[in-house]
Amino acid sequence: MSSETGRTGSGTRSQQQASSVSRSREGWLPSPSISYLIARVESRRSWRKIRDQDLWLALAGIGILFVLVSLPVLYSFGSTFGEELNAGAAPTDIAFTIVVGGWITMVAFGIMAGVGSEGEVDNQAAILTIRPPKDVAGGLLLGTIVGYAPLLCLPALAGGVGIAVGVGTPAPVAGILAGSILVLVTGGTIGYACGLTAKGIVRRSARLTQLKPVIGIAIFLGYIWLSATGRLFTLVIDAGELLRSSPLGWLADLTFLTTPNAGASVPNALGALAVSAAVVPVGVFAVVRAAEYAWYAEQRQTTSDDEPAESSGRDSASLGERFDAALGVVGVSAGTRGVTTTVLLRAYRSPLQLVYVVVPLFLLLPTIETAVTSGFVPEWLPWGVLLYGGWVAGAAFPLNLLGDQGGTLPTVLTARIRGRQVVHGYVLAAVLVFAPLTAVAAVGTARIAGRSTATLLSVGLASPVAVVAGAVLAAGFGAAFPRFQSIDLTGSTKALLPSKTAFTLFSMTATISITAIGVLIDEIYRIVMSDLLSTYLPYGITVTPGGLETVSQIVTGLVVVAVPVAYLFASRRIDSYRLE
Amino acid sequence: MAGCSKHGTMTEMAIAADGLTKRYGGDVLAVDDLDLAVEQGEVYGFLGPNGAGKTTTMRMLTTLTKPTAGTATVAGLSVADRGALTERIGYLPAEPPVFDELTGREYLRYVARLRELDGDDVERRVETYLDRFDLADADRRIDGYSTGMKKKLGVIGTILHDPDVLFLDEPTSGLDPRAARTMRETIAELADREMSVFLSTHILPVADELADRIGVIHDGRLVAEGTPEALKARAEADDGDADLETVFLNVTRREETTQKTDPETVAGGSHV
Repeated sequence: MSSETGRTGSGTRSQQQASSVSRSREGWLPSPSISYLIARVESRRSWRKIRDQDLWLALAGIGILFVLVSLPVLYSFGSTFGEELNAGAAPTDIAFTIVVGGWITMVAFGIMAGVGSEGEVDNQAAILTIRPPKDVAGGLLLGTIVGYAPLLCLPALAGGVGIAVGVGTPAPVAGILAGSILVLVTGGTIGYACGLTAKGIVRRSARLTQLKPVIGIAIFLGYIWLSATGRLFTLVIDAGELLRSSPLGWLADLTFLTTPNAGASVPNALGALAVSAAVVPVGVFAVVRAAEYAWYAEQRQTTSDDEPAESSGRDSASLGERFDAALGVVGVSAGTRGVTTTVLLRAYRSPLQLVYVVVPLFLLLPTIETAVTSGFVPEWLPWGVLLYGGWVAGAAFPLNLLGDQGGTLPTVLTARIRGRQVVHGYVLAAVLVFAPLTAVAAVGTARIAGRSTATLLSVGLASPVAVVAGAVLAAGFGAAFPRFQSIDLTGSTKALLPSKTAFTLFSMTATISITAIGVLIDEIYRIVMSDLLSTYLPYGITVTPGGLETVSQIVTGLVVVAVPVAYLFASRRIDSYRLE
Repeated sequence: MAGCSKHGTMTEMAIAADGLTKRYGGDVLAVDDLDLAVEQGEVYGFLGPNGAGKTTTMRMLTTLTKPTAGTATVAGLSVADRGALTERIGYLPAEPPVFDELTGREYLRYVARLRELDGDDVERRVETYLDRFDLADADRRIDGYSTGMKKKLGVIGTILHDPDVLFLDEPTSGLDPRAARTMRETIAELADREMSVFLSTHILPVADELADRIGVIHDGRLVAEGTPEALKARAEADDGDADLETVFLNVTRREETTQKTDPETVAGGSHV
């Protein structure tokens, strides 16, 4: 080896290596310089990941746009609030509650980060043998807090500038900025420690590990529900109101300390500073301990070519075997049931892969909430449910049936299994899951909506038809426009979404096709749709129920042709597919 | 723990394990009462079938996993002393530990900074190693690298700080013949500089060529240990074939037979 890479001098390594440990590795708290380095590199990596993946880039763009749009609004609120302060009629209680609510929000963000990928070490085996976990935890915490800073500090600054303009002095900006930074750091740190602890608890419990997908979905749906119905904001403000009189309220005193006439208490503000000075190091220490608890959770480790690690997959594997055997009993071919079982097992074990199919549900949330709170179900809703059922049957599984094979695609293409069996497998998986769900949901909704028995029967019979049609059409689009590049959902979870082209074309086709079926079957739905189209179509175009029925007959005729064409196309495309 | 190094000087053991045991979830015994003694400057080949406990052993010795029982020291430091020990070791896992979003050079600089190495000397080392491992295209992002290139980069990151003890998990797998040769030469030269190397591999000729001593682990227990020559001599005496493959197959088969015959029997292993 060249002397350039060699050790200099002589003597044994033990003599050469000083026995003392570098100072940065000692102690309980993270090394600031190493934490900063890790945070900087992690931020750079995150940005490059986002930049490389159009979906994340678009979501980041929407987030930035949201923050930017909020700035003038907050400035305007702040300005009005400042003028009201001068007039002695400002709702200061609400402002104080908002600060405490902001702290609760930061705790929630911290928990999400700790539980999610921001609480995870990439290349754990390497990084944790280079630096002690305290430094790595410190780096990830710093990166997380810096990442959240624009979401909190920029809006706070815009509001602060507005208040300053309103009251006619720049003084409020200083307090608001200091307060928001303390809210960010204390809330984020405590939340991050809680998130890492939760991660450790889940990892150390076989039962919770097994239930993780279900828990994750339940929390996600709950969050979406609360957000879309506006209850999340109410909850946070209610909690803020409740905690306003606790020491957390002192943060609000600090935030408005430099704002004239806001009624902030100086002792409380000093108390906020003192408590924060104690909470931050304790919180960082808690983060370090929680990180060790989460990262060093016992999981049997094996090399890539060792036998598989102990996993929670055994139960689902035996379930899969029983399911496969059951399909065999009813005469499904080995190839088809192999595909079906694998598709369903993968979905069960990685439900996050399918997270995109819940997005359309957001559109239905206001209607669903009204139905739940008032008991009123619109007469068209059963057909809305049917439309979603048919769409999700295609979007969830067959819409990327080639790309979904991933690394096993060469095996599939060179195996004895035929293209039609692959299509059958995907369609069967979709039908088995979504046909009963769609039928039950659609018939149930129709029943609650007070529709006639004939309509209940029609909706019930149309459900499997819509699901099969949706799945087969999706197979055709998926085979024509596959996507092989996955995107990062979290640090360790990748998802292979359908291509944009397949997704768009299929969504349009499914919407038009299933709506046409509903229009043909149900007169009320026909009237509702003709009203809707007449309202929203441009140039004053009006659509009569009779005209819509005629168009629907043509569309249904085309669908009757398109479904077998999509089936044949997908089967042949798979049979003739060559790797580029 | 002290011993006599291959260079003839009395030294502390590079790795010393006494009764090292790892049990997962109360019922899976991954490593069972393992004793190890690796001298400074020694290349210790650690062989074993899939799932034998090699990676768990390495993870315990590199502080990543806490032993259920037993003690171990590496470079004279207890494996419980995570902060100090990580400064003195390098660990290359089987999967190359690199970040796809960084360039090769960025990754090495990052590792150097994490190790608190700085200055022109580090830059020179980086360049020399990049040149030696034929990684001229180090300013390209790692996600465009082949597996072999990633592995080379991982190795450089692991030895950049000149550790006392190097843990290598399958360092030559996935490398082309030229890169594999470079890797073997590098390991040999590191050992010449008194760096101790704990080498886990399935590629028996690599262990045969590089290792001063070899230990074979099976079902978490050390079932054979000795110099390659001694192990091969014993295999020749038993089977007439003087190669490491025969040694490996014999000791692991013998253990399986023993366990099938009497599952309660704990074989003591054979040391040559």
